[in-house]
Amino acid sequence: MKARRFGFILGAVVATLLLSAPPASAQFGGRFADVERACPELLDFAAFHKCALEKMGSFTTPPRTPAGKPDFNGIWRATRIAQDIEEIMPGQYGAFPHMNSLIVEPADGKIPYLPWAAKVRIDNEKNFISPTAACLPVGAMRWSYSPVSVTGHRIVQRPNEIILSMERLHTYRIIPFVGERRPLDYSVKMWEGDSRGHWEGDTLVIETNNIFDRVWFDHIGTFVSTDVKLTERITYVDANTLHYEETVEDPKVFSQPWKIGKAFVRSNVEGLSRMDLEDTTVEYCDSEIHHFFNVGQKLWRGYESVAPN
Amino acid sequence: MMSRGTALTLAAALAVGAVMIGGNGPTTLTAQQGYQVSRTPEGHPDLEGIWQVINSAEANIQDHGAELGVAPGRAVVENNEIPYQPWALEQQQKNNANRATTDPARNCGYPGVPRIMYQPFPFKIVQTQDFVGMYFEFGHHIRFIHTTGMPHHEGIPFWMGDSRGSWDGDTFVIDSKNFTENTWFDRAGNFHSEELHVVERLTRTGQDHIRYEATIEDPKVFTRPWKMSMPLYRRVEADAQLMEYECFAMQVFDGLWEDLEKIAEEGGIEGANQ
Repeated sequence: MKARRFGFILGAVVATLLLSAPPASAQFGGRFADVERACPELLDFAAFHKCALEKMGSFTTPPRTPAGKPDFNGIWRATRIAQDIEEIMPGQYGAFPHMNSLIVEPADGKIPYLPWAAKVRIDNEKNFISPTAACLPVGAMRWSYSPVSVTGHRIVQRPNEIILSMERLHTYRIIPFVGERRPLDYSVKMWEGDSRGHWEGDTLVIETNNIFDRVWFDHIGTFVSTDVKLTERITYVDANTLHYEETVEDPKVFSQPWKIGKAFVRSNVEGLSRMDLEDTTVEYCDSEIHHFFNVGQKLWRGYESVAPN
Repeated sequence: MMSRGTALTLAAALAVGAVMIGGNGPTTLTAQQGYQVSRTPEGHPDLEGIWQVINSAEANIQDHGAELGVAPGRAVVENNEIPYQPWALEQQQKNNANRATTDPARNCGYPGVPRIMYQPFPFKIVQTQDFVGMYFEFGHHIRFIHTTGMPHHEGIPFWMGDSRGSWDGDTFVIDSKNFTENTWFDRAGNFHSEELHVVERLTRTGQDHIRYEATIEDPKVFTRPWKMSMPLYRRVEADAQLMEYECFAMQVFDGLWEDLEKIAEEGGIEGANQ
């Protein structure tokens, strides 16, 4: 079952590489070293985050839009995958190498679950199919590090909105700037939530509510309630590197707010066509779901199905 | 139109189609008087906004009467005529008879092109220097239509085709090929093969209107190219917003998985093995 899950991810990556044919070193770091960076520790997330915060404001010459705002248009590549966003040890999940924790706050790199939620997380991993492995949508919270991020995330920036997209499960998020329209009613939940953007100096800040609580942060059961609020901050560190910070607040599940910190690096592979690749088909997904069902895994049905009485 | 053979070139079809827009087309949408199109910094007509059809082509692209839950409507197909080869007409009729279970889009698959354009859901167009992006409420689907002159991929089939865009004066032209044979044109079983070639033309005709045309070519299924056309209407509400119609996810939560569980309860787990 686990091997199959990896096969799915790697299959998508391989298919993508066939189209774009970057060097074999493309995965998760090899080719990031070819440009000088203000904060070079791209795969040590805590170190990168610390460096980026220390240098915040010192890089004043990012590409800019006609209105003078930093211009994020382009294809960006993530530096991490979503299997488990805490530290991954070699051998822990099949062939995955060691990876540092994406979590930069709290400092121990662990997700600060409430005690009951920590137990539920373990049960989730044991009993339920990972939602994205069943082709359910990639939620807003895991946009920045989702697996096919090797191929890049596209940012389209307009004067009144930002559109984030990626190839994986044809995901996109349309984020209007504050004031463009009233927030949706609390009762409406969406996989990508309802987001508003605003500028704080040269930092783009995105706040997201109304998130559907059937998305995990990873493949091992990290969940949220429908009260979750995300705050993302995106800032240029140098001309080819973005600092990305995501704060997760959900007092129903976590004992304190926690943060992901990481880089996006500008894709230097020519051509935009990789984003055309269709990640999955409904036939493929149906067969995956039948497979998971037949090996005894169940469909995770959201916070209410696990909430303490 | 009937006398045209399969050898008719696409260019000729387009030329004839353009002449026909004056009178015989199902949607005779000419530019509003005195209308001056707004333009992008590159000088092209500005197609940006949230758009949606007002028709029932999703149910049937030809003339059709009402059914429970389905609005009646006139054809979006020119002259209401789809020039099937005889075997293909039989196949379409079979598809139509089985549509409740075999319509790929109803099963939450990719709707394909041009069907994605006339589903009863809004979509958003953005224009950049390198591509025109279309973001669809239905299934979070995306079309990136590259305008950089990049050639089509070779040998890779796509449910939504492989699209390239260019400007013919003030008309945005999308050339799409490399399709699969897995999508239909509507819920009525109108279909194509993997040799489908679609040329779409988008022309701003007013502040809140785009004339949308699609010329369909598929020598395995049709005897000649044929065309559909319809207006796209701007969603003019001040708070217009794409929300989510996550077809597949809803199917999984509300249907597929429950069906599997029911099968298991009834002791027929093998049935779920396929």
